[in-house]
Amino acid sequence: MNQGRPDSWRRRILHFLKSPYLAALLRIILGALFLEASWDKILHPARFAEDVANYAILPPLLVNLWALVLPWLEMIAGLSLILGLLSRSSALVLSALLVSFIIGISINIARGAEIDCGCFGAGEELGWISLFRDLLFLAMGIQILFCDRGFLGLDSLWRKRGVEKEG
Amino acid sequence: MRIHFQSLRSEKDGPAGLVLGCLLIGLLGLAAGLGFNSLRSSPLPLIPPFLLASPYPEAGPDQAQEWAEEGRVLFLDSRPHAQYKKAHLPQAVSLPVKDFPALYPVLSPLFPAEGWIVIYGEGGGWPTERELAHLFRKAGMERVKVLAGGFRAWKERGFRVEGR
Repeated sequence: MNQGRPDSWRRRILHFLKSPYLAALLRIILGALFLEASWDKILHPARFAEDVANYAILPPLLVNLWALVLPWLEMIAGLSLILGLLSRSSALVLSALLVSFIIGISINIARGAEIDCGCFGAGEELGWISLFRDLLFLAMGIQILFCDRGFLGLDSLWRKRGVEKEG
Repeated sequence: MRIHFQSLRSEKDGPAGLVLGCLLIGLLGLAAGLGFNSLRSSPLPLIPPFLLASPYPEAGPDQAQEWAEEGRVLFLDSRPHAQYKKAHLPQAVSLPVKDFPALYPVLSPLFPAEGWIVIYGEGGGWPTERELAHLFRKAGMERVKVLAGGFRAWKERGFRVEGR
């Protein structure tokens, strides 16, 4: 009877946003995006280290370590998301990384720095688009963290096996 | 939208499992990053050598200004070229670190026979001036000083800058 009422639509939208099926779809999208983002950085660590240095936020002693480890964190967490293995831990890791990116980008936008984003390989200048994109990715990460139930993932497969064994 | 924190605690995957998972991913990332780097033909040094080198002799903004008035100095801007174009020290030449191998032979005739080469960076963040000074030291150039406090200190001192 109240299908056309606005609160019914609100409930439906909320229901959709909290859906574990949406979480499964976002897992695959976010995982693939981070796999793509990590690849160029893994192949060209010196260039990525230069991008990290240009942000002028990390102490110089930590720049190369960050440039070496970050792409692999993105790669491993991205792959885990796609496979649905430790997916919520991966979402938490990626969300934490995204918060650090958002802080770094915001500081450099405020400084008016004309530097490369270093987000998806070379040639992308840092700007508002990079910031909004990372905010969108963060929203995806948080959705996965709270709503994922392991649909289409190895986590749920193992859980089922465990239940069967206990049974 | 209310967030149900209990959704972080489902079946066997409680908050402890979540943290352990994060630790596992972190350790794997660290091991893969360092391991893969050590297998490369030219690995990226964990700490760049110029950060470990002995300190480079410095000149303060007042001293550098004095030399500039006497025409006994060449300022080299080690920052990325976009920053140089915005504003730089009077008559400074742009020499970003990555362009050193290509530009050093071209610029060497400009080096003053008497006087100093003063290298400067932004004065915060990544020390491009130390990186460039290190390359000059390796090339055997001794009459090199680093501007103390970099471009920021020069500007704060109220000395003239050029740029767009």
